[in-house]
Amino acid sequence: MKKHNSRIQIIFILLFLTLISSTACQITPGDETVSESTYYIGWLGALTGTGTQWGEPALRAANIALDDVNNDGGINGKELAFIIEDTQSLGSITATAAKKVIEVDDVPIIFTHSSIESLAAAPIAEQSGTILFGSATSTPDLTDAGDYIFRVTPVNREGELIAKTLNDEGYDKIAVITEQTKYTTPIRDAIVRNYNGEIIVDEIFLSDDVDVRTIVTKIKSGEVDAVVLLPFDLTRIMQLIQMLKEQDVDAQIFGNAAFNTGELIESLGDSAEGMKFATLFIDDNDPKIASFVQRYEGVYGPIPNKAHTLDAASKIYIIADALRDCNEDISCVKQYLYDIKGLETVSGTLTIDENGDADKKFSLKEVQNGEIIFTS
Amino acid sequence: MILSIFIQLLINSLVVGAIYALVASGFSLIYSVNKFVHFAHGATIAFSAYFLYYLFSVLGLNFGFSIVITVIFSSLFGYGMNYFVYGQLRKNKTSSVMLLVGSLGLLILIESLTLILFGSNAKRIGLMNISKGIELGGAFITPLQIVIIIVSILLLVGLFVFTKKTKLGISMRAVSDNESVAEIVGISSKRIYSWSFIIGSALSGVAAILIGLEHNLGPTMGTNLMIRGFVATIIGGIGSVYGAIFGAFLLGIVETFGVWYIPSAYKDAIVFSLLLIFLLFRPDGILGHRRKEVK
Repeated sequence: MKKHNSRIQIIFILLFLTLISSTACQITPGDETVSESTYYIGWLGALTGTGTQWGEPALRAANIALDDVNNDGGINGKELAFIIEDTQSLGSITATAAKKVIEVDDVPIIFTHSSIESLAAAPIAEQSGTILFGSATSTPDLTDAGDYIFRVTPVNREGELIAKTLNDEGYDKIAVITEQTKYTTPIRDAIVRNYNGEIIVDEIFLSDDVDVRTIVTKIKSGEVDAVVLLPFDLTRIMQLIQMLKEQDVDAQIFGNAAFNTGELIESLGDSAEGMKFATLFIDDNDPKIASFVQRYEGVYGPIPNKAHTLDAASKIYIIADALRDCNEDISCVKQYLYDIKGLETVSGTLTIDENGDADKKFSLKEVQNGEIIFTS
Repeated sequence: MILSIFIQLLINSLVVGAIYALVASGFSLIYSVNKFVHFAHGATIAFSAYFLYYLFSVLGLNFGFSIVITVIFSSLFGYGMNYFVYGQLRKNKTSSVMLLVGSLGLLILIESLTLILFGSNAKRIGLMNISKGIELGGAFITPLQIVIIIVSILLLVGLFVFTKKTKLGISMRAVSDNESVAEIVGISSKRIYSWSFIIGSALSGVAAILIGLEHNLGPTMGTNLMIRGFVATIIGGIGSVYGAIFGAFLLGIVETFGVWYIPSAYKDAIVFSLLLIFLLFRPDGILGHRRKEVK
């Protein structure tokens, strides 16, 4: 009996540890006191867990935009504020948070900052007639999610661009290594559909995997010309790149938008040289963009995931303008968003189509002489 | 499978096993004396690794000095957890289940603290430049990986000598076997609890240094390592420190060779299948049976 109980304890402990490892720890920031003189919008983003490296800079950028809006008179004299909920990058927690801000806090608009969050919150928002405005949301699955669902980030075409580059540059044998998330898996699928050569290694790994050595051995034994790495969280991929160098694997490395951070060069040094990755195009010479980036970096240092972080800020300015123009009428705000065509924002020129999807250009970047530059 | 790949997988297994052994040894030592699962051990490793990152990469202190301070810090950190949390719970005569709940609280607290202090982005200690490893029969191994394997083996030997030959080690075994009898012969179990945390956490400091140099740092890395360390401890025989180290190497071998044949996404399935096999057919683990015979 005692032995039986100890086995049950062991199984309980392991289940708990597995749960903890996937959810990390929860900080609940949503304790704001509701005020009549404040206009509240729900902010659903990852502040803990593996998605923090996306969610944290997004909220910082959004707060800069929020300050600008409020310094500019707010929404018809009311202060604009967020009710912030930590999603931990988990669909189940996002769905609960969406129900809470919509049904309890009664917000008419919610912001999300990843495909995982947008997909989880979209049905709840659509059913209640709440506008969902997503950034860093590139999954094709959101296009038909409903009338109230919008995004400032376009449907992902990173996979198509990587496949085209691989075809154009004549890479015959490749390895594709994908972190299992709703953001990265469609990119992998697009590469598999569009690449003309042979995929020798096609591995999907879990976000909490502590060791990637066997994947490196598979890549090495496959003698590939190029390795495509599709992470959501850079931690494992940086380790994988390091191990590829240690194992003397001399293949061209391609990546996705997660590579678009100075952290990569800072950590990998010369090993990052020559890496190519697909991301949204951001014109660094655009004065509006340059000015916002300068303000962000003045406070927080190098801006991570630049295009997506800037998208998180641009949707604040857009919604503030819409609420002012529409005198807070939500049907009017919805139409305002559908009517956006060629709008200059802090994340570039934005057009929103009849499905609520954004239309923007994707480009290839390369690390050259320790700097990330656009090559196409 | 060609020979060079087999050698590479074997090297990978040893490195992974050595890392798990570093985690499992300290964890198992604390468990064997205190008789509760110290969940926060993994978080101690992660926090100590960040501490080293702060000393060496942020403050720019000498590396030798930084690692000594890191081991001292992790020992004191473990001692502090025992004194301020578990000690207080024991004073109130709480059950081992409550101690376990306390350790869960500590785990979450330390992970949150790490996130607040160091942020969510991956960190790299960056002592050595990334370069080609040493070639060995067509396979590659880096000098750091050799150090990790050697340190783990030395730990195995050191812990064996410590528990068999030193007065403190023998006292620990006595408290581990029967606390009441140990008290009768004059061994203070309270003192031994403290020492188990000091030594177990010092081992976590060593683990933090080597894992921190080999891997990138992330705030939740401790929990993921803890799962492996915990499984290794059960496979090796819960309560047996050297069993945990053997269990860690076995886990490393099964996991690495398993993932060669099936996709990486099923790695956890391999780990938990191995655990299930042991729970069903050898619940006392590899060395657990032998320990029972000694009794």
